[in-house]
Amino acid sequence: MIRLQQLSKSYGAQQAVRGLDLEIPTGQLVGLLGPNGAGKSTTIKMLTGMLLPTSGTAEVEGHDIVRDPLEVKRNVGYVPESGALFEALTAMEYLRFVAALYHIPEAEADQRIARFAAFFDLAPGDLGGKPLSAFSKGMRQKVVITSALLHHPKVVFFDEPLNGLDANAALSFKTLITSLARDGKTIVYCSHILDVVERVCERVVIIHEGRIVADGTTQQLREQAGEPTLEGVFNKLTATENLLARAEEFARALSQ
Amino acid sequence: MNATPATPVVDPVAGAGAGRYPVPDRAQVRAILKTTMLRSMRGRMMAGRSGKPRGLIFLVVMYGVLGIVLGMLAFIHPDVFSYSMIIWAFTFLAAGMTLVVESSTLMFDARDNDILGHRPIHPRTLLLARSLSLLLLALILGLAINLVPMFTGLAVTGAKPWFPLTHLVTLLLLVPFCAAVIVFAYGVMARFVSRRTFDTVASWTQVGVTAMLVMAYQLVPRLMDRMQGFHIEAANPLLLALPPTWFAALSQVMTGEGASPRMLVLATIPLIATPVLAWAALRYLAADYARQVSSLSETPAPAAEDAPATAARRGRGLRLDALLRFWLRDPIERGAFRLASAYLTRDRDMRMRLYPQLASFLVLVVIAIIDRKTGPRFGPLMSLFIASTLPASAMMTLKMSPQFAAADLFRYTPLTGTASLFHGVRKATLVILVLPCVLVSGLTLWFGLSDRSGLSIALPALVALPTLSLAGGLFGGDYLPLSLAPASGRQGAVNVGMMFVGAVWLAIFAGLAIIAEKNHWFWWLLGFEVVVLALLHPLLLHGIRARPLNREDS
Repeated sequence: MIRLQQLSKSYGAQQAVRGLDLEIPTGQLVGLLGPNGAGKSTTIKMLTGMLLPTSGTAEVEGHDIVRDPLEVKRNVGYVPESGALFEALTAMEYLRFVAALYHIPEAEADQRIARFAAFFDLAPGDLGGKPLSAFSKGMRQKVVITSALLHHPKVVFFDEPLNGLDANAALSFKTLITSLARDGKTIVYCSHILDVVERVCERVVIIHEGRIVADGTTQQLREQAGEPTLEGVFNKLTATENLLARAEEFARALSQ
Repeated sequence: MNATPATPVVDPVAGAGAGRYPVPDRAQVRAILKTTMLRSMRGRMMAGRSGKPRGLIFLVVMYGVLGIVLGMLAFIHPDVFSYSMIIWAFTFLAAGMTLVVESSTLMFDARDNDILGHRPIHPRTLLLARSLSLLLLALILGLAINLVPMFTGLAVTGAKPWFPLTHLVTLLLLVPFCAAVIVFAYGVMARFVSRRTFDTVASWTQVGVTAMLVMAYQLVPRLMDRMQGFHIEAANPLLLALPPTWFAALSQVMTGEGASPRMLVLATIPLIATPVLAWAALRYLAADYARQVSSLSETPAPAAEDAPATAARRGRGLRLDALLRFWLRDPIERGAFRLASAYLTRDRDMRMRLYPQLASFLVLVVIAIIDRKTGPRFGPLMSLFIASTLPASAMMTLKMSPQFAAADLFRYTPLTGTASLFHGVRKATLVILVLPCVLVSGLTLWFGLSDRSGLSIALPALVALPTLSLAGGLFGGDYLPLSLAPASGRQGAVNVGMMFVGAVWLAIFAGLAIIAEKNHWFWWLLGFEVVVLALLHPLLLHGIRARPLNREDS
């Protein structure tokens, strides 16, 4: 369960997030969309306890993000867009390190890691044999996702989780998150791949310039905007001019 | 408008009760420390191309060699206090300067925030783990310096058989003191300085701390003019304020000889100051530290600027751009110059690793002016020593960046060699760093010294600086700016390595200049040097141009 009340974040005079009101019930899979710089990542960073809001409040699983961030952090998993991990470590060392931060006993951690490795087709040789710096982008992303889910969080934030994953891994992942939501985990899914969001998420929230400009099921949004696809809805709500005409004009200029 | 009141100011994470786990959380501290050590000791992120911690190994070896030289002091049989004073002053300088430059990597790595920022780690736990990493680095360096002096100290007048043990115990107190001072300084800055100005204040604080370390190191031998029979009761009061004095007093007290009341008081200071500083940093400043670390991934809002100021800045930029186009005709060289200038002046990581070296300039110049015993040559020679290390050291520093992956740009763009990149960066370091430093120190010495006869001694080396700055383009791998990951110990190794190179360079040029001056053929020497350089310079340029770019990923 996530609840935001007038949540705002400013950097000096620049307002990144402006008074968000939102409630996501337990077990819901919500797509969080918005153009670049709309405030999605800032919102997620506030909800994971990484950033302090300037004003407003938010609760994750009943814990206030300002007053009780450690409890919030114990309950959330986060896959950052950067896919950052400690590259000098092997996958096994990294995942054991993450497990230790959540006080998961080593034997239990190893079991969980093995389950994720089997799911993501990571061979034991890959896990312990080479540093993460030698991993492909897709394999690294599998480790990042594993590290976000290892402690069985109640709420998971995914920021562009399909980065680098091949088609099979992406398909497995999409199935995994719908199953996780069915099992009662609250999932916030941030992505620019709108057709994936359309297929996977039961609810879509669109943020533009720090404000929520649309909130509903994909069908509701399509009907309200009078557009046949989520892409059309997104374009209508967030683009300032005709993107197709602009792109064609730019391509013509490039080829001259 | 939103009517919700602003969020009350709450200790961002500390308020968050540790809940089920103690604070600091020992299991988490162990995990973070173990991971930091693993990262420091191996792998691409923290080591050389081979995966070995070359920087750290080189630094340890260099400090070990310096320790051997220092240890030889024991054989002129000073008393325990004087010997310890000199050893601790150098340990402070070496370990302190390394900690200052390495702390930006160990304490404030913005990349770590995406990995650790959302994990349930209490700020005190995080600060303790990071401080312990810093402490371990300082301990390795401290042991490297003191390994030989610890045992040669047995030859010191009045040393007891247990001198090595007391020296080790004192070192084990001195290292945490050094680390605690740095952690405390960062904690105070994190509390009182805003995100927007933190980077600037932090880098200038590093310059200040380095200046103090150099000043203390230079002052110690000047304030104690006797190595035997030195009496602390009669010492200059300034000496009592220097931390090496406190630790030397502790060494003296622990050897059991000559423990006067003043000596006892001095020896008590580190025993109290170290735990107090560490406790205060962890107890009161941890939350501010965590907030500042998390804010590293934020983009600070630009300061509001009025239209005339913006227009004036734009005008200045256009004039400088025209000048640059006139001077650097090669667009790649010009681009590299702009890249290096931007990093030298704006990048937090670069400023924190490079600016502390500039402090030595100022301090040595000031000492040359205030200490009349140094003679007219000391200031020029020391300024020259630092100036000679600056281009190579700055260019090595400009090879390292947390954004090292972006340097792949140089490999997939159609470059045939690295010459233009190298020259662009080299010229930027000469114009932005070396020239201002030489001008400031030269003018300060010119106006500050009553006897200016020693100033000419610096000329042969200064004239050779631009040509010798080409050497880096001929040796080592490709010169690709910002292409190496900052490594634990790597910056310190660069600095110490450059000190050695600078010392050799100084010995050659200054020696020749002094001999020439004595024999009245100084200006002939300078003329000869100009001719040699005029021949050598194009040869070196040709050599650099002829080097092909290795496109293999390092």
